[in-house]
Order: sequence, then structure tokens, then C-alpha cells
Amino acid sequence: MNCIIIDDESLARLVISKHCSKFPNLDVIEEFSNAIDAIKFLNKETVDIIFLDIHMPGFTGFDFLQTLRYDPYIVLTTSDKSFASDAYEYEIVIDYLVKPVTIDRFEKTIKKIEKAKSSLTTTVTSPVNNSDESEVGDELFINIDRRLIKIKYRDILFVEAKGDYIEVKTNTELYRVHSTLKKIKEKLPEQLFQQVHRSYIINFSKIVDIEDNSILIEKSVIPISRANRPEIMRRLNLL
Amino acid sequence: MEQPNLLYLEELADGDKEFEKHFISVLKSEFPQERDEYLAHLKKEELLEAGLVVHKLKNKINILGLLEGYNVAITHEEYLKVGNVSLVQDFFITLDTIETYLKDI
Repeated sequence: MNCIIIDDESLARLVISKHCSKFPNLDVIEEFSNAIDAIKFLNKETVDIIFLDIHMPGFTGFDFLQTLRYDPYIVLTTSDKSFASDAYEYEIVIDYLVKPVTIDRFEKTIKKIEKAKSSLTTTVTSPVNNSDESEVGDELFINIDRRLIKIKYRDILFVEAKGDYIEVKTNTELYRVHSTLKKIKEKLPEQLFQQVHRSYIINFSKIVDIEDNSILIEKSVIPISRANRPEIMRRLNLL
Repeated sequence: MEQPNLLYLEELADGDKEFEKHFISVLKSEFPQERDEYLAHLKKEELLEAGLVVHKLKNKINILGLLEGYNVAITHEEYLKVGNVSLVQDFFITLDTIETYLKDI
């Protein structure tokens, strides 16, 4: 799991980084002494876990949470126990560590994240193995907690890549699946779906409108990458 | 009077002497800067800003195992937010204790 550490105190970053080094499945890919630099980084990259100090000058950890465009696991770190109740008002906050963080307490956090992660879906399967249109099925099965859940293609609005996961958004549900955009793209029928951005595949029939660099699908605005735009325009039944 | 210790660091380092050295060097370099910053804010009667520095120092005090000093820092930080400087002298004692300790390690 990729992580970043955001804390204005270098000693605090050293502590978290050292704890992370004891877990082979944790990879600290970047450290930040302020939230603004982390936001810039996250505009380009996705991570699984963010260790986030609440009490930073100028732009606090809580301010930072408002800027997130996806839902990594957030572990708040602070010297103030009094922030705990505020912290858990944010759904994406999975744990709250009081400094100085001990290895035993840190291990509990990682176990909590692993448990949450394993309770998410783990695979994507589909009965569709043939690209012949006449034999194309109309559904996809995703594995959630060892249950194969059927999703009709026509119900899918779009699929979004988020780090190690993809999110399949339908009219009524949001399914989080441990897979890649590339894998699900292979399972979805080309006549209905198209990748419009490195992080998005859309259901073409669900387009409400298109602006210069974005597509509106129901109420969601999906970015279009420059490279995919010509193909989108080609597929449109333009008047 | 309580004395600082490196028990937390030793547990964290888990035998990694290089890490211990690096950690102590960061501590030695940051502590005087933050102490000076705190004193400068106090001198200018910038109590809110002084409180922010106490917040940072609080973690270092805790890391060095100074439980009484840590409790003083918690209350001092809160007091500074409302303009109360009654714990400045007590906090100085903690800072002096750390300064002396860091010179010896």
C-alpha cells in the first residue's frame, strides 16, 4: 500500500516513516511538511493511505480533507486527544493516532486498514469472453465479500480508477473493486463503453452533455483527456 | 525533578543505531530553533503564535519522556490561547532541562 506522510514536524514524520518501514506492505512514497504541497502531489498521483497531521499552521489537516478528490484511508496524527470527536466526523478517517505514536498502536492502525481493505471487493469476473456482438452478455459480476454481485452493463454510469482500486458507479450504488481500469475495460463491451481519461471509462449511453474538457454523466462531471477526445467526437451522432 | 530519557526513541529505533543518531541530530537542530521562536513570540507578546510553537515542542517533550513537562505544555498552550502567561516560568524549566540534556547526548 502506498502512503504519504503530511506533518510540519520532521520528527513526527520520522516516527511514522520508521513505523512504516517495519511493514513490508507499506511504501512511503513521499513526505510533506505542509498540506499545500501534498495537494499538488495528489493532483497527479493517488495513494492508499495518508498519515495526516491535523495541527499545521495555515492549512490544517481538516482543511486538507476538504480538498480530496477521492477516498484514500486517512490516519490522523496529532498531539491533541481533544480532536478525536471531530476527526471521526469524516467518513474517510479510519484511525486517529496520538503522538508520540507507539509501534503497537501503529500496528493496530495497519491491521484496521488491512481489514477494511479485505472487506472490499477483490476481483472482477465476467461471463463475457467473446467479442462477437451477437454473443455478448449484458452483465458483469463483481466479487464483494465472497458474493458475486451482478451489475447490468446498462446500469453502469462510469468506472473510475483510484489507486489500487476501481469504483463502479451505477444509478444507485458505488462498488469499490480491487482491480485496474485496464482489466475492467477488457470486460466491458466496446460498443457501450469508452475510456475518456486515464482514470475514467464511461457508459456512452449515459452522456448528458459534453463541454470542452468534460462530460456530464448524470450529475458527475468526468474529465476528458486530449488524447481521447477525437475518438469521443467520432462516436457522437453529431447533427 | 524528572529527567529526559530516550526510551521512546530506543523502542522506535529497535536497534537501528543510524536511525537513533539521525533522530537525535534532528532533535538537537530543531529544539533550539523552536525554543528561540517561542521566546521571540513571547517577547513580542504574540501569545497565539507562541502557543503554536508550544504545540510543536509538546511532541518533543513527550518523546523525551517528560510527562510532567508534557502536562505543563498542554495547559500552557491552552492558557496562551486566552492570553494567560501564568505557566511561562514552569515551561522554561522544562525547556532548560531539555537544553541541558541535549548538550550531553
